[in-house]
Amino acid sequence: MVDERRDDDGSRLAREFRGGREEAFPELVGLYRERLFRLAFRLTGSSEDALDVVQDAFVKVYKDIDAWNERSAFYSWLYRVASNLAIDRLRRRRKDRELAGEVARGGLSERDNVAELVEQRANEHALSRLAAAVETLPEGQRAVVTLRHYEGLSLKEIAEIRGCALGTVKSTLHRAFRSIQRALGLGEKVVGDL
Amino acid sequence: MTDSTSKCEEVVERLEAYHYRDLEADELGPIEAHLEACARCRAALEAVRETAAGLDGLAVPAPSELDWARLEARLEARVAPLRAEKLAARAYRQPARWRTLGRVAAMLVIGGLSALSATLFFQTRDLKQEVATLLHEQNSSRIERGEPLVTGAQLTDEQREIMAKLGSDTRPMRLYGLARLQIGEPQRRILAEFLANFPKHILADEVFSALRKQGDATPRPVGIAVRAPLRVVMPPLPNQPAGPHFAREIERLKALATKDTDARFNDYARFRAARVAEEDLGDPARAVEEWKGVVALTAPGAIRDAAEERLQALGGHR
Repeated sequence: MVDERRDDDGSRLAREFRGGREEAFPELVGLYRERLFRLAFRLTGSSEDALDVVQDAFVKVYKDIDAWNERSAFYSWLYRVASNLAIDRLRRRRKDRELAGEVARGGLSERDNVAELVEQRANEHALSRLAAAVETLPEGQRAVVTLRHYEGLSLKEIAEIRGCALGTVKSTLHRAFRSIQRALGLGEKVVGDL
Repeated sequence: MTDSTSKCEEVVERLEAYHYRDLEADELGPIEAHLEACARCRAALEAVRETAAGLDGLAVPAPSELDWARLEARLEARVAPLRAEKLAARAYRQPARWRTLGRVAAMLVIGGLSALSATLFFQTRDLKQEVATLLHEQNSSRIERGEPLVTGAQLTDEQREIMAKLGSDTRPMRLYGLARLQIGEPQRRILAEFLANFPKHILADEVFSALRKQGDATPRPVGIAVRAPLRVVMPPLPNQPAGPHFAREIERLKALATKDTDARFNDYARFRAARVAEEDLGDPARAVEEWKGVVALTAPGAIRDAAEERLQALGGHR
């Protein structure tokens, strides 16, 4: 309810900003910055990256507000912008880390041993195994989990944001959950046997 | 693979969507019926719920006030040039609404950018190329005839619209060229101060040296049509002797003439220096010296012809 009201406010402010009321922009920032930060943090796993994503997203809003189609809520567009930025950033960071990690591990890749990698991440970052499991999800799976679980978007909305078919989103979410469960040793017998 | 296993696979793949109540109505019935009958799938659903509950427990750190303040500062730094660009463009499209800004911009354009004199010219490659191209390709023969350097026919529609808006404020001025200039909030404030003191003539580099003193050394480009008379010179400041002022102006222009890679720009900067020596400084000997310099350093063409003519008029010799 609160979010709906906020999104109505967001769309109204975005319309005003597009119409030339400059003051609406900082109001939009104030309205959405924390929500975007949470989204970006879930996707990137880093506060620093998340703050950068929030900044980039609002710059994009400023520059490309005309790209928002008023037929959809402003926040859907904003989320699409922010999640794409966050996923790009995550992808870049992972690539760097994988390269560094492969060197450090003598060529071991994620695919070789997911459980080992989860263990390693959990130790490295003092995160729980669950957090480490989420962190090691491929960016697409992580995005779907974040948008569905934490942001409460429907799978249909996620499909729109991600620009893919609904079925793909469903199966991505399923694979993400199975990866997490496997890493946690949860429901292995039940799910793994099927 | 049995039918039952196949059904279980189908159901398990949708359990997350089921958990999140994201299934279509017609999908719900068969899944719920299967779950009632299948213990393994119920266990799988329980695993989904446990996973989701676990996800609930993952905390997100809250940025500090300092983090937000930094973010706002960085955001503002990135948005300011975009805002300036937008406002400047709007000032011309909506003259009534943005009259003040429009006037400031127009005044800057009239007085400030004696087009080529601009520090901006060197700070922005686009600007430099744009003006240099205009001068080189379109306007070189017009300089001495005092004709507009760019005609309406050479402008894009948008540029023509801008020029039309500028026209009412700049009628006595000659269209000098199109250049780019950013006017952000700090620039506007400082420009307003300058304009209050020097309503007719402002040199852009004077303006931007003031900006630099205030820590803003990064004028960035926006599309603004530049209209300026052929001769625009910053008047001496109050209580400042005119002679040394114009002598410095001459040196400044000549220094500009050594910095650019575009020969036409260099020629014109020297040309202007000689004009200042003759008409503003009012020192015939110095003017002859400067005109000689123009003749010596300038390729054959309108500028050199004009310089030779001035030399003859002043009794100087080649």
